[in-house]
Amino acid sequence: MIVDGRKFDSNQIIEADVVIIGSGAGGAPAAYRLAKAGKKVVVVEEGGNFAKDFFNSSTPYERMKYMYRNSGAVVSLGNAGVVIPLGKTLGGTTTVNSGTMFKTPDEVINLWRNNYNLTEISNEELLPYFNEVEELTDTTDVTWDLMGINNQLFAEGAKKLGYHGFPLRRNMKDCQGGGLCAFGCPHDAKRSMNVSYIPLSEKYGAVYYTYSHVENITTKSGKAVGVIGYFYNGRFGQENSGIKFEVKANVVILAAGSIYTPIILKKNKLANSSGLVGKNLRIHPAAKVMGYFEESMENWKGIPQAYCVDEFADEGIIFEGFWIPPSMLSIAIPKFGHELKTMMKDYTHLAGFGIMVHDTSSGNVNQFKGNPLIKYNLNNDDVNRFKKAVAIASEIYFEAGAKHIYPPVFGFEEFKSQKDIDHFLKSKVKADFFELSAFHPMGTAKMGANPKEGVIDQNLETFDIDSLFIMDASIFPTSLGVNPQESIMAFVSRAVDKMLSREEKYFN
Amino acid sequence: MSKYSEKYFKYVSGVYCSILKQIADVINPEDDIIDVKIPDEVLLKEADDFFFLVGWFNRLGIKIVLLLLEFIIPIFFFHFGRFSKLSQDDAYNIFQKLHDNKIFAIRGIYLISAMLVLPLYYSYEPVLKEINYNVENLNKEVA
Repeated sequence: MIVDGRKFDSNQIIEADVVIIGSGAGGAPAAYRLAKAGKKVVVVEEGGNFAKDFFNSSTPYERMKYMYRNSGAVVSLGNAGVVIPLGKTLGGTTTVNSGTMFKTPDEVINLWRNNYNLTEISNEELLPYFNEVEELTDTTDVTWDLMGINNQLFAEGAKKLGYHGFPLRRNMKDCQGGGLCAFGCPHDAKRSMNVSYIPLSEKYGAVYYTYSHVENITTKSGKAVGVIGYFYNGRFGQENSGIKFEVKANVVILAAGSIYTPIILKKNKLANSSGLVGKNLRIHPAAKVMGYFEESMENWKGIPQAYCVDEFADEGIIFEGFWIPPSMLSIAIPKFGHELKTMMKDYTHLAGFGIMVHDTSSGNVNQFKGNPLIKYNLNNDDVNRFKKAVAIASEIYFEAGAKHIYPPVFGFEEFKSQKDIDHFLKSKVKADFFELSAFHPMGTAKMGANPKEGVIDQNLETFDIDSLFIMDASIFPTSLGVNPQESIMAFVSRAVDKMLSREEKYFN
Repeated sequence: MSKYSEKYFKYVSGVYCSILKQIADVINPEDDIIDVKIPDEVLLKEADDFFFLVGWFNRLGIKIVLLLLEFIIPIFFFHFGRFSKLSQDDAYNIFQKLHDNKIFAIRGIYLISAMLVLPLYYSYEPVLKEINYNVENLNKEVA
């Protein structure tokens, strides 16, 4: 059942076995598994229940305003400004992401085992969870015809240069290639949480309260016992209605994402004896390279993120497809006035591909009255990765037939030939020259082998507070190098099974 | 303009209306390339919505940036007058200097200004038609 938090006109006290904060890639799979095991599960979600009818009756720009946190205006500051779009809607960021699915790479798990002493985590144990996640979300490979011209051209360019690539795996069923995955799928083809795990968990009795903002996690004798918050009101639920709720529960699961999970912990001064809450922020910084082609890209057709070139994954660089409607692209082009209009007039001839860096840089999340203060500095190694990646993506596009390239680098407006790329590679480029965004914040309440090295243990329970679990991308000790949603779902599913195996500890 | 802004808008008052209108005129200048102008009232209504949705903390930050742009930045670039009162050429020059500045924080002033007017302009149906976007397939990418 999904309950609209705006409808309440009096304070509510709710009792449950488990209360979950957030309904994204962490919260929804946890709700499903716990509800299926017979637990009374309540999920509180700050965003609204935006669904297919809204996606088919609104512009992508409107959807961004209402379904993204701060209308998409979450930015990290540091030696480069990075835009970090976060979902604020039922299903969390999965409702507004590209749908790409990757298992956690073996080398990342091995790194955690060997360098972080996370010896309870193993590929063998996780594999059945990954398989289950993929089954429940209809994960499958993108077919060539659904890729759209942009992805096809990049794939062909990469192939000509001998670079390894592959069609991405996505959570999708009967996809029609509407091209707007990141703004809510208008056909429900993308199997994000709002159309997969959430309805499944509802069948087992999980209840979702939307427009519900958590202020406090309540504790008693070192144990989490519930949450207190308030409901929003207004058309799109942006204002405190003054109506409060309290959920009393045996277990509290914090799954608000890597930016808001540490904010809630810090506001409540909880689970931070290690001093690591909010630290170790990894984001997979990303940039886009655009090419101008003589033919029309028909970029309203096909799956925007459909192909991956992983030839340079060992160096921490991967390339994934990307495209956005004109309203969003216009902000991402480093021009204005007549020049921008001239370029936008050629919109249908523009193609774009994303660069994602497996960052070794890190940052931190602090808060001011509940608002995020994010700091992230790109280190020289990652700057050099971007530099190399921009050159490679440009070469691929030239090979695919692009007439010229628009690199995402301040001071380099256009590459017209290989000579311009060579000049760029020889030039000194600083972190803040890159136009960066990031879609995968991680690591701000990381797993550790002991209370000094992490906020949570390998079963995702906080070291400091009994029955308080963290189940979102905050848990990862390093960045993954690949899109994280499948990893979150699998780690959470495993952790819930561990919790259920100790029934007497948590539910008596 | 301030009459209807004060009447209808909650977060965008007179001074911000003037600044936003100037920003829109400079970033999306009237020309033959895309011969569409968004009515001021639509622009300001949109800005008012956006100011509401971004929350008080971001709203405060954006308003500070707009006031900087209005009162301080012109002096910084030797234009002695409020940004909203400058000629379009002078305002354009200021944006050009902000846009081309090597310091990211200064470029950021341009970026925040652009964020307030560009998405609306490029989701406006007449503009989409001008850029040959397939509006029918866009699931109502129209304002």
